Amino acid sequence: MYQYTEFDQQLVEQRSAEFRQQVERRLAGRLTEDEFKPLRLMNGLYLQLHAYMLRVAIPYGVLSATQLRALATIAERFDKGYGHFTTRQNIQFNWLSLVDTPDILDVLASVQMHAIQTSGNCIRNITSDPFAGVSADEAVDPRPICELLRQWSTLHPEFAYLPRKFKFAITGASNDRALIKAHDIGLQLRDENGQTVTDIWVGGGQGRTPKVAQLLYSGVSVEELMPHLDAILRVYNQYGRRDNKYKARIKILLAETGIEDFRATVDAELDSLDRAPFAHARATLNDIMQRFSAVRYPTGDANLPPADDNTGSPAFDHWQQVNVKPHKVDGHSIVVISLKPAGGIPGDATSAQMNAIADLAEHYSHGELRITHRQNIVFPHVQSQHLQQLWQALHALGLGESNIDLPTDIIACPGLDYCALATARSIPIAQSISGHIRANERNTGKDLNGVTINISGCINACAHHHVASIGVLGLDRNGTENYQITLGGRADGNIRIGERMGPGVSADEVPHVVERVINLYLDKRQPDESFEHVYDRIGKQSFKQAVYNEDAADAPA
Amino acid sequence: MHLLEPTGNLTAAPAPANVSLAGDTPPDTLTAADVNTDAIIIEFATTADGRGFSLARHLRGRFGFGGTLLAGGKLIPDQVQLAFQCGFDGVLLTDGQLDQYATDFVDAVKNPPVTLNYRQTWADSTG
Repeated sequence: MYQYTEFDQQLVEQRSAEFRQQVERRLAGRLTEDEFKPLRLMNGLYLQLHAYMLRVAIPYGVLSATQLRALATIAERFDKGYGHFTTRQNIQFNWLSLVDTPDILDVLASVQMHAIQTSGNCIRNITSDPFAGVSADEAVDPRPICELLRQWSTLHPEFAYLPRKFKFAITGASNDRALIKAHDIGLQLRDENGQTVTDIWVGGGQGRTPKVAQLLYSGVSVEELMPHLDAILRVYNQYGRRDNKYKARIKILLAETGIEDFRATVDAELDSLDRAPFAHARATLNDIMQRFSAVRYPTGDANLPPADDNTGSPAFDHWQQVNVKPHKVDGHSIVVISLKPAGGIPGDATSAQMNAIADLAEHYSHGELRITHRQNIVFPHVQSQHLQQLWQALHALGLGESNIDLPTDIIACPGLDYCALATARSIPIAQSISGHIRANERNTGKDLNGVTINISGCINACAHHHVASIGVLGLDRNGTENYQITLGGRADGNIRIGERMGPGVSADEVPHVVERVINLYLDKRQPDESFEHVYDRIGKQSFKQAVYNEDAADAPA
Repeated sequence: MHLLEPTGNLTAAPAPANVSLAGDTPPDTLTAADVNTDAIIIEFATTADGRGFSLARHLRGRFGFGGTLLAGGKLIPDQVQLAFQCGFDGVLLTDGQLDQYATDFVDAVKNPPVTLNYRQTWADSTG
């Protein structure tokens, strides 16, 4: 993991002190709510339906055991004893008081954490591959570039008041687990003759106008990466729409200007851009690499486990097949811990669970863990010979669920239970779908790997419903919750936006719709055929009939 | 009208600059002739609109503007440090702004809680 420099530490401490003073000015009436709002948002503090919510940054999804314990402490001392991991690899605390927030930021600063730029119209926390540095399909470890860009974007003086929020995602692997083409800017790192180069994808996003990003520049060098990003952001800051918040993201600017004209404008800005601030970017990157403490994997026969030393119960076998992923180092595994237990709230963890997971991370994963955009936790450095012990420990904590990337691994936003923007509930819908499909063994088998269900409680699509196999969008229709179904989306390098089926259905009906859709897929698929392939092959109309449980003649047109 | 300098000094504002630009001026509507002057004021229409920061950088970069660049309009104390970092030489403040924020403007410059940003540390580093 990256270890803070003195400057990093000083910055988060000073920022915490600055926010304490801003809160005091607000409480004393020296800042109006209108003036205070962008300041608190830049520190991750939202005013939600019932209380203040703080979104804490987990830069590129990487956490230490010590940091997780601090999050557990915050949940215990200042919240109701739990936290919610989000689709942007962050954590949210939902029940806070304004006056406590400076103290919470101090707790975070003490473990090299902060909530800077987790909301507001600025460059948000950068997300990345949760398997960064350990997956077998990786060409370039993205974490040092992630850290470089964290530094570049943190307190960037020019881009603190953008037209709208701005999200980056970065991967260096061939399988995109960071959803880079659904971000304002997605960076694909590649190795070209021993040098790291970057492809810059721009204008992806979800929300009410889902767009897949377009390739703006290919093969950009490390030296030129930040000048390119400065130029892109400058053009966006000046030309992005500010008249309508729903048209203010860079995806709309790109759609309205066209990629060629957009590129020409950025090129012109690049021509005269002052490179002086970036003169030491390469040296800084090298220094950052030094500050990532390398994990020393045990080597030699004595420490390597026998190949199949994990015979155990069918339940363990199932977990091993579903939750354990291949590691780049022999004798090691990547373990994904599901935060989607039966009846649970997707992405929630209690203080007790966080503390227990921190202990296990120290025992089994070199004290390091990751948060995934599917709201689960990853242990990136587990010796394969310890898998059974780890599973038993997780099982005892109620964290042994074997459903990673299966239909019950549901993504859900906080929805109307918490969120001021929500138009319908998400969490209870996730719980009822999960409960309903668990009752049918056919709908929970590991052969359903990749069939995803994502539930957003409003059009802003925080739960990524557009890119799920089965997307559920909760809306308000004259005071009644109404859920629109989209099918055939996909959230990897071959990202696709799902297709809307038609009129929404009631909350009670959603689990039945999901079950019928899964059953149709199971009935029609050929061996190893993916959900969206079946969708394309047999067509929207067949799936519509399943959604509405109607004969072809009756289905809505 | 008062002028806040990067040092935190507060003085009487100079005579109005020759050119005043709205912060939301589209850069592609500007010509070299428009900025052929000694001093330019960029007016921020609202606190939330950050276009003026990019316009300042644009004038310094694309047009090589080397004259005095002043920020006017609805900046709050928490933004003046950003303005200086983006190339402004001073921030113009009305009596009303000074009355409302008392010494916060001066404090924001003289005792900035966050004194540096990463980009400055890179640029300043001699390594």
